[in-house]
Amino acid sequence: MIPDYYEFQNSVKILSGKKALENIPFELYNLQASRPIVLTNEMLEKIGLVQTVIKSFAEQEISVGAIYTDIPADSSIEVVNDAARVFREQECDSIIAIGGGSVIDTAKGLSIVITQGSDDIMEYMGSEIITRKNPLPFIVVPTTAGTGSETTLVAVIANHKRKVKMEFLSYNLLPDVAVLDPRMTTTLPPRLTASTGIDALSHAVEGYTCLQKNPLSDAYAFAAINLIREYLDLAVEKGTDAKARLAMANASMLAGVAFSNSMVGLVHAIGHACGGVSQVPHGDAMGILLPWCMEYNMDKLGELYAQLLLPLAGADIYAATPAEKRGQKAADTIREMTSRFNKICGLPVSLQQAGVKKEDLGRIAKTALNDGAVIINPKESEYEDILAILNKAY
Amino acid sequence: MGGDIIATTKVVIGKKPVKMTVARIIFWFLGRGFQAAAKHDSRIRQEVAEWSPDCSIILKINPRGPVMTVRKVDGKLKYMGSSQPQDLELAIYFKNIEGAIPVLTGQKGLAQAYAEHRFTLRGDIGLGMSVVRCMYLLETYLFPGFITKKILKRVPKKQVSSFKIYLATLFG
Repeated sequence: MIPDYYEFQNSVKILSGKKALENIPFELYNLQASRPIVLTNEMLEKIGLVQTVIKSFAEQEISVGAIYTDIPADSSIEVVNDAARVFREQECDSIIAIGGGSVIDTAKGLSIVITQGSDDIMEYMGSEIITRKNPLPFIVVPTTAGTGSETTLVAVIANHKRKVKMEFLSYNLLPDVAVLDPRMTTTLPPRLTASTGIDALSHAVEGYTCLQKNPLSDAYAFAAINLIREYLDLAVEKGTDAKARLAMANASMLAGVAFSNSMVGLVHAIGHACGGVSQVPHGDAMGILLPWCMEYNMDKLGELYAQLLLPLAGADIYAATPAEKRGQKAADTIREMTSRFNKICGLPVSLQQAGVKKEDLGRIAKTALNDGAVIINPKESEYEDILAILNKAY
Repeated sequence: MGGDIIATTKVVIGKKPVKMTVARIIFWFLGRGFQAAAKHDSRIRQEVAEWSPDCSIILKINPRGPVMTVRKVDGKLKYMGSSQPQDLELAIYFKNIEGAIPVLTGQKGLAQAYAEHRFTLRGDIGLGMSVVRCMYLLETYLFPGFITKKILKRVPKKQVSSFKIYLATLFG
């Protein structure tokens, strides 16, 4: 189905494969930059991933202005401002973000501060407010295969003083280059591989079904799910398999493009709230909530879920499932997947297993209602609807 | 061949006075209606109660189109006409009149318009969601049923009659 109107942008150049890191200096040269600030976190520096990237610059004309590692699990306005101070002090001219969602969000925040020439990023909070000003070369090297942040237009940054998570949505936040090198994810433990992989799956499923879906985002979502079906189990069970790691890095990137353009819905609205109220890791929340939310949406989105059974379960199962049962089968297939990961590496399959207290469900439902993703879900959901989903997922 | 300019034409940017007037009138109704519904519908009252004191919200058609401003004054929602206060907490800007008219005339829902990038939003998206929920309720009162069924994902129940909201909208 063709929408009456849609917009789509994915301007990120993708470098994918063996020795992809070695091409970063050329990309900087191409973007007329030579003194990047590297944003990462202490753990990634400790396990040597940052050194892997720096070593790949050998024999090339590049000087790293600063390596900024002081980035916590949740990016904040203070961290962004501090990184901006270092950026200016060290006279950097570009950003390389090495890490997962929080590092990449910090990099996007830093990009706002530097390009807009403002120290108060609060004034850019919202949707499509940031205009293209003084473009700053921006390269992302993801170290997980799940968030898809390397190809998304969104950044979430906490403002601890005001106790809010600020959301920034703008096509001008898209990085210039995303580098998918299997070396960056081979050390990811099975539990985290499963959790982040399911996060990518949730992006693709919601990207395929939410209000802004369009033929381009559909293609990206479909391709992502195909790769996840084929390679996620292998990446969880045999982390050193470079092909599986590269495939999952691509799946995450593809799902990122899909949801950046069609946006995410109810699963993410509730998942964000589970993270905010009960500190449930995002991927874990996605795995728990995805099948339940699919069932909630089934009367409205059953046909689209039925189409997703093909990449989710493969041609044989799709063909063997009666048309009217394919939507439910798609949700069941995801449940089977998370149950498998529960046995292999302990991925939680209920909110209770994820450490959520029953008495917090009401607060989670209320928080979810104010999430921007609610409006994008094709089926309306009110407090009682969300609470019912949470109770089922408990 | 070459880049010689053989003629110059002065490009005159056109105007859309009818659509702008329609938008201006609907903004007036929406603003007054919002104030009235906030008085009579407990769900809107509850939403407004959670906004910060003196919270100002504007709806504007860019670049130079009509503006509708509401403000929380002494805990109550007040329509402020087309004033544009400096201390805005949330601003919803339609990118142009063509994107705004279908929403204002009930041909397209707010969610669909957002999905189509018809407007930008400056401020806290959480507050934006609260305003959207208020708008859904407001549309239920101001638009006839056959329209709300088309543009809302789920039509909320009315707490008072539309007639009462219309009276309060027109006469305060």
